[in-house]
Amino acid sequence: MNAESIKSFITYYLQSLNERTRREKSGAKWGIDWVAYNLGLARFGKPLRLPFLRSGELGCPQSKSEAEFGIDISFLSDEGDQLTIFVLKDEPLTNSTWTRSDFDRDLRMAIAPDLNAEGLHQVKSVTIILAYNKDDQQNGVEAYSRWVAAAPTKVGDGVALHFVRWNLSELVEQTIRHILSPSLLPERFFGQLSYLSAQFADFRHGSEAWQTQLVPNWNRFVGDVLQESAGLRGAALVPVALIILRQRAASNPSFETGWIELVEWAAVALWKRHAEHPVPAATVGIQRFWSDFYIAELDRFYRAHIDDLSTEQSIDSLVAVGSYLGAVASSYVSYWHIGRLGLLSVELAESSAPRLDLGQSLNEIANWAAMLTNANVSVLRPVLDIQHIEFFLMAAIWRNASRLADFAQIVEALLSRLYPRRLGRSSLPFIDGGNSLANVFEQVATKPDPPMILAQSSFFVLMLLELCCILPDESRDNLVALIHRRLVLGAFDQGDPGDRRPLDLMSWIPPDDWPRQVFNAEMPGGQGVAVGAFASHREATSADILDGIRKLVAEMRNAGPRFRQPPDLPIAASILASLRHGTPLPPELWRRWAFPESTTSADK
Amino acid sequence: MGGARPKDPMIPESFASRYPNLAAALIEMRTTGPDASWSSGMIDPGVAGDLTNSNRDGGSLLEILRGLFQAPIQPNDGFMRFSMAAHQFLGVSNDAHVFMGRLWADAIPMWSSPERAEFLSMLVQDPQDAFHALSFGVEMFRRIQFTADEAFPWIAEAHRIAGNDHFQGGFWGCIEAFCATSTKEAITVLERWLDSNPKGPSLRIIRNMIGWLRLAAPAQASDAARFAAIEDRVRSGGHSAWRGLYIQSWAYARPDLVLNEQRALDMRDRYVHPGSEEEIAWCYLLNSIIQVDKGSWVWAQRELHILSRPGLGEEAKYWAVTASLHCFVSSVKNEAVVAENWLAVLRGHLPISPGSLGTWEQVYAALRTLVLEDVGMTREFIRVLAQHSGEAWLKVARERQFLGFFQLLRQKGLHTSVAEDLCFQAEGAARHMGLVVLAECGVEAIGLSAVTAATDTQIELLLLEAQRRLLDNAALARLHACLAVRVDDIGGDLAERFHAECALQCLNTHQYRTVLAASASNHEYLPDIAADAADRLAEIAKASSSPALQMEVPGMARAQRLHDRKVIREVAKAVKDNSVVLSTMPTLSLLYGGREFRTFFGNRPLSEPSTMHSSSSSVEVPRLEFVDPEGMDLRRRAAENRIAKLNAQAGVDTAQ
Repeated sequence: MNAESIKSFITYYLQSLNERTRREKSGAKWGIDWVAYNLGLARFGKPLRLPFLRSGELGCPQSKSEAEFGIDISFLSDEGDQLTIFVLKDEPLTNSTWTRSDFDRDLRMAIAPDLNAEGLHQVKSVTIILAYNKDDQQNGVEAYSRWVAAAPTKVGDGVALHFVRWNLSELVEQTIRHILSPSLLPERFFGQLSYLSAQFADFRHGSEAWQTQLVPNWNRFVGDVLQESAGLRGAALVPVALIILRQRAASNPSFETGWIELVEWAAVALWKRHAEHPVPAATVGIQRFWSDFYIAELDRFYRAHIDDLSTEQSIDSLVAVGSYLGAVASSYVSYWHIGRLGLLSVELAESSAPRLDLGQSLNEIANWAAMLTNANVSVLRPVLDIQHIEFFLMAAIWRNASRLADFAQIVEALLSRLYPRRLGRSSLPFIDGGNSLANVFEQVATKPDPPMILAQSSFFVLMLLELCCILPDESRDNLVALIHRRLVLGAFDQGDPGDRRPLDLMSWIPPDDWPRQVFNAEMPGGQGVAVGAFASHREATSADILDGIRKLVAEMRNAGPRFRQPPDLPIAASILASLRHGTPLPPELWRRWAFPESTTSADK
Repeated sequence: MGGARPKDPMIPESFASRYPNLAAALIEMRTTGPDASWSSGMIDPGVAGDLTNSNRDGGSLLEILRGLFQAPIQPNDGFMRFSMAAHQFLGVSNDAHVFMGRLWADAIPMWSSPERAEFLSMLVQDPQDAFHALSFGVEMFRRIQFTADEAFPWIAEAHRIAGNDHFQGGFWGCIEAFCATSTKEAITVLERWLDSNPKGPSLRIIRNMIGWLRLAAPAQASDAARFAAIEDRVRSGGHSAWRGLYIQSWAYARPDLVLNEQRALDMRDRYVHPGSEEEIAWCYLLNSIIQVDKGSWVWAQRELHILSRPGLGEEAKYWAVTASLHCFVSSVKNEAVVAENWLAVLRGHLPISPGSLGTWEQVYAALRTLVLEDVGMTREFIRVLAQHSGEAWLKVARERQFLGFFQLLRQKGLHTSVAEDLCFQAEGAARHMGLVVLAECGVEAIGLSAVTAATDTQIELLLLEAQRRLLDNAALARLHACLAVRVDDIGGDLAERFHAECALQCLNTHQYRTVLAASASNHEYLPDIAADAADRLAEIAKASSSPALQMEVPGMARAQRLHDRKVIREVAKAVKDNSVVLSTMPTLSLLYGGREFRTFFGNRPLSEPSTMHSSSSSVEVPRLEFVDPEGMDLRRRAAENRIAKLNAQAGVDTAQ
């Protein structure tokens, strides 16, 4: 993550804060005072006056009702000779706010601290810091400068008086330089984020501890943040928490991919929040998080690492330890990356934001995918049926870049590698319809009889058949016939076709509001559709099979709701939720390309 | 008497003075009995000499027995205990067996019939001691006539004990002796046995008894008639198995009684049908006849040739191959034409099933003999075997059977020429066998002359054969190195595919890479290919450490533990299955302690500490088999398809 991006999201967060932290009926209001308090602790010594009682109810600071005489927070240096006074404002500094928002009044009151109070006898210098978390205007700054010029230079007889102004930019600089840590977050979340930071620094991405401890803790943290905050603050705080986590876990060798996973869980939670309770102010923040944080980070990640990923066998030989477990593991890793590249492509292609270099960008992503695929054959080794999501995303990459011929080659290569697995003549099992990676691993490790995996039902293969229909006719016809013969029927190409039972093809009709439901961990609704083989003999022509597929699509369209992606929800976000929750994609995602509905019929 | 303390044994002076060592051993044997801790120690040469002399001198041993037991000799535990100590004190030798048989034979006349039956029963009471007892029994049966009532139950019980064991010599010796000595009673035994409608293993005993009784030639006319009736029952009783045993019974003949061609063919015509028990028996008989009567070879060869058909049963084939091998090997030194004819007969009986290990044992025995006698014929035989039974041979070799043969080939300097013979054969299995010889015998290189003489297609087929098989990596590298220049000369697509295969194998194993670099150090491209592969592997290692690839795949660690446990179990089982020591000795698991242990058993003192030994071996895992298993399978399948295409082309060319 680059410095500008960090600065941007810290700015966004600080900007979202109030002047004071307080609890209201609608939830906690997080204030700039907590940030100033932590900056003061980091730079100016011990706190002398705070506007709140720390560790109040529910971990939220409790506001004081006492008169503050213009002084929001003050710190006394450890030597006792420097007094620093914060005057905080959550308003922009303009000519009109100078008086209307009490900049003038509060500063005038602040320059007269009671230095006779206990502990202040040795003070030799007083600094007044005017800190505000909004922008300023030139005339506002001018008003401040004139006021400072006219203000006294001493307090009492011999104590020097200095003035400092921290606008939003300076506040961000100070924050990044001194308190980019869990303490930046509201006190309520300090403990949680500190704990998460320690776990993130220790746990390897994907390990059991990661899966069973860190991810649930992170999801709980994000849930708490979103529950606690109204409006945009949640969407502003989550990226800051992620930035802090990233800083703290740099020593963890697996933190790069682990961090992306945490970002994804946060994105899913934010979009879920939006899907359930759309709040316009928050939506802007969520969209900003999605595009400027997650998508931008994915882009940065692949720019940084594509050379490694496209090095020959870099993924394939990742965990090969003299068993076929490595082959399964490298498949998982390949699909992880190809899925993210696909999300990048889908987001770019389906985003409503105009881009002049769209074609070039989509082609660049396709190039990355091609490099990764050429270097690593594990891309052609799906082990779970749910990996249809990543394979769909791969198809999307090629289609978005108008490189369907490349996709046809991929399908051809995939088919030649899946065929022996379908026939049971490979060391690796066929795609597990039960979607249990643990079972696939155990199957490969121990080869139990009966097998632990469910290889008779397949959504993946039906999707593959349907995806071929986005290809030019010649490629489509050849591949559809081959896939049906080899994978669906499991028949030999020549001689005795064998007596394997055809695969039970599967499809499903998603619930009406899939784009919103998909953000739930367990998506209710929808109907499974069992689909028989499109022909029972291996000589079936592509025309026979295509006819069957077309009928299936038509029937399902008649039976189910029409697929609509709401304009306020990026389709890539819904697919990400599918990825994270392991729920199937609606077939219409590819059928809209393969079997486009006419405008007339779509309007019915 | 068995449990009571024996009175002091005594040996008559006349015996003790002539055979002092034997007398002393007998007294100790009587006093001590079998010692459980005895473990096949050396026997005093003096005892062995006395045994030889005593058996040669003959004479009754009854007084010896009386002196040893100082009481009437009874067929009881004490007597058996004394007898079973014989191997310990008299040694394991034919003389010891004969001597003990004589002792028993001298004791038996004093017993009643029930006691004799009881004694016979005691011989096979203990499965461990039964084999000793049967060894001693041969001489006893030679000397004593037993009745059918006494012998029949014993034969069944003794066969139950010894029938499934490799060491059946004692048992069959007893039966043969019984038939020779108690002919009349043996005929009675057979009559009763046939009345009980015998099946399975019993038929083998009946078969042998008929054969031996025929040799014994019953003296009395009534016995001869009874025996003829028995023969008639078995050959015309409607049982295929009975007719088979009848045919086989003719194998037990003296040279002067061996069936001549006419009688043999008459028997064939009467009883033998394809796929029947009689056909097995016929092959068995043919093998028996040619071993005894070289004059039968001409007609036997013709018969064995007639029998060579794809559907011939495995057991029949075993005897046919054994017979052919015997004649082939016997004639190879001085009768080349005869040997070639027998090799042709043998070829007709190929392939041999990989499961027929007995037949393969015969083949390897013949090969071991041939290697010492005739190099040219050895190569020819190997070529025939690889061409016509290659797949089965490969399977036998793959299961690590008869590995010593490859060592013998190397010792005799035949390994390179055999590899050259096989590697350029048209049959895939023969080529594969050539590659196995290349690997197992450590052939450095196929000779330049053989490589030069090979056609382009032969070179390509050999390379494809190596590509579609899992081969020792060093052998593959040596093969590629010695073919490289020739492949370059051929050029074109083959050269490109060859270099790609070399590059792939360089990525596959360190062993291939290093051997190739060393074996082809002067080649224009191969050293660079090996060096490039090393660079590529270094790049892979570097890229694999990328932060983008450090995630742990969920469930992988657990699966690895499961896999490791499975491997450990399988390795332990394989070690136990393949270790002679572990399969015969009890396994003792030491629970605690370091690398030293002591033992304490029975009345022996605590042993001195012994250090445990460990052994380990390592093998390089071909990484691409695990990195890209499907790709390696596809590569093999591509080679198979190309071979099929080349074979088809060759077929077309031949037709043209």
